[in-house]
Amino acid sequence: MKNWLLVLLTFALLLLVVTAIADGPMQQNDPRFSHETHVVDEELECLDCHEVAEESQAGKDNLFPERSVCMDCHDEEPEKTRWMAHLTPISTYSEKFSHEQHLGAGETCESCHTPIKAAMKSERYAIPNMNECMTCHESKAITNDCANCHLPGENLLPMTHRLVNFDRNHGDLALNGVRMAGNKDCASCHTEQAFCQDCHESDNIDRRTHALNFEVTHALVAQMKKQECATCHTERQFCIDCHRDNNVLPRNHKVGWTNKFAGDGGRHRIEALNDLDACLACHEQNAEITCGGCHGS
Amino acid sequence: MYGQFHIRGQLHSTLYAFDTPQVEQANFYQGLQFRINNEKAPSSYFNTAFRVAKQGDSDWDDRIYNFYGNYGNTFDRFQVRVGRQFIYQGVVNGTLDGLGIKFRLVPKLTIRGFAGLEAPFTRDFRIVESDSNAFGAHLSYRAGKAVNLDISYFQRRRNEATVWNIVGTALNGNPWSDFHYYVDVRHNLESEQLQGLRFRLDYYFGAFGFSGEFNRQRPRIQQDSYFRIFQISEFSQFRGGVNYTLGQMQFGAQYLFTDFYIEQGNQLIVNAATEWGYLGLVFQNGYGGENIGVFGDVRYELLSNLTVKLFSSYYNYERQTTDISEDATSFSAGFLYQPFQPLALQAEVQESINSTYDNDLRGLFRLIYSFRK
Repeated sequence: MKNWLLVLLTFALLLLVVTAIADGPMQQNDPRFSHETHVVDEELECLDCHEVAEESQAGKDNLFPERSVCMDCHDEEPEKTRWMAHLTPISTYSEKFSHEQHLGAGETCESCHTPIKAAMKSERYAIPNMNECMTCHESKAITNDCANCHLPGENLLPMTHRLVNFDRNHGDLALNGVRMAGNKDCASCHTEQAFCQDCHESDNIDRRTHALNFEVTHALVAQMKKQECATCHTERQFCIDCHRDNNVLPRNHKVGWTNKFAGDGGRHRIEALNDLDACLACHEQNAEITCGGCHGS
Repeated sequence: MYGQFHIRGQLHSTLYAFDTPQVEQANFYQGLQFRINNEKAPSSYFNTAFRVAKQGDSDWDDRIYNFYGNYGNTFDRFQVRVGRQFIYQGVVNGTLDGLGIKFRLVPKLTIRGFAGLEAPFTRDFRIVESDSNAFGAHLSYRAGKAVNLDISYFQRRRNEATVWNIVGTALNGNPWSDFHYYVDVRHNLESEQLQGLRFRLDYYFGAFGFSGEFNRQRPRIQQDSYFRIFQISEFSQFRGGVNYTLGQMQFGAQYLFTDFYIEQGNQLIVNAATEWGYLGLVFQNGYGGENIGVFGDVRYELLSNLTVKLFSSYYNYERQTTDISEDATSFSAGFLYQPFQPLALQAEVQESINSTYDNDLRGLFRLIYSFRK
């Protein structure tokens, strides 16, 4: 066990060091522009440079200032503005996003672009991610329906959801908070407070979680380990209660079940070695009585 | 000084009746979930989701899924959650009546801690009487798109003894945009055994998506279980899947091979799907039993506020050790109608036909009211 922990800790430490040094890739163009110098030291307003932002009604609008705007101040040092020719508009941002609407509703630039004032370089555009937009909308009772920001016909289904076995693998993404493009996680789209529990802990009367007839076919699923039953049914009392209430009598417990030849354990030994979970579904509660007679305590 | 309070939630009332040769019964379920927050503190709120039910002649029973107060500062860098909460982080899994804390130390590093009493598995509104508590921690490090590391720990105690003591590490990422890997290792500290190992690769190539997975796992048997005296053997599983997208259609196939301690099982699932439904076939043989099945599900938007739902399945199966061939057929038909924005009506007739429980006819009628103020 100590070896296992040592390997784990070494691995984690190595990873922390390497990634802390690397610090991720820089943004395309990477202009060394200091917002801090302009906003804090020179006391410029955001709209002094980004003058078109006030009337912008679409996310694809190019809100970077023209080089001539910079030249108004930097006319004697044109080399300082040369990098601006390499700036590209942020064209992938939400088509429907309107700066005009947000500013008109009383928001300021800093409501969304909080950290930019202190930014020494502009390799990150300080644009809020979708989670942050949705948190703000949520707090102000503004709808977070997809259509509020996205265009009809936009394919919003993440690639991960396309895989044929996503019904099984989605738990891995949720368990470890895997983030996808744009820093999105499950809650970015599945905003309902009990979205997970609607399936994982519901009464299942609308058959969303388990299809009709699952009562009789679930053993096939459980035995092939197709689903991890214990993800939701964390207590085996769930299995025991249902098996007892419905008087489930396993039809493989027939003559010779425990001993085909004296002492060989019969089929029940093989079943227990293959799939102890199946035994526990009924016998965990009174195991000392049921099993203890032969196996001892 | 104080901002406005906002409430958002959903109320659903369900009548569910069923008729079998043994029982005729009508159940009523009343559910409510909502969240209240103040606009000045968007990350602080009260959240709950619960339902009460009257099932046949039995007494009313309640299930409280969530019931917690949440405090969070701007952009949730620090968060405290008190009350009943559903936790699903690394190896920490379950519903606790207790405390959850999240702290984002730096943008890349988040630490979470949980402690409390385990909620009763029936989720009724009472604190578990026995000495059953649990605590856990989860550390996640987001190094970038290519490397995400998660380390988690979970301990459950009952009657002053540790019954579940597990540590897990998961590593995942997208080194390239079309490629995703996932590795998850879990170690049971109490039994000193590997509890689970999962390794998966997903690759997208144009219209194709490929997925391969290896899984090795032991049954989750707690330390106070009598079954600890037995040999707890692990199983290994290989899973391979491919899917292909053609316009609005998607075709998929998945093969599953499970190697148990002594025997093996195979399963193949193929399916075709559109935006409004899917059709699938399943073939299975080996230790898990013989099974041939077909299933189809349609959810077709007839009008912008009316969706028709149809489902049917047929399975012919035989458990390996019984040599008894059985059939199971099911059918359901219903609709979801939204006469105006906050209100939706759902109705469905469900029928199960199988040789074990005979025919079983069920009816569901649900009214859903969404509110936001």
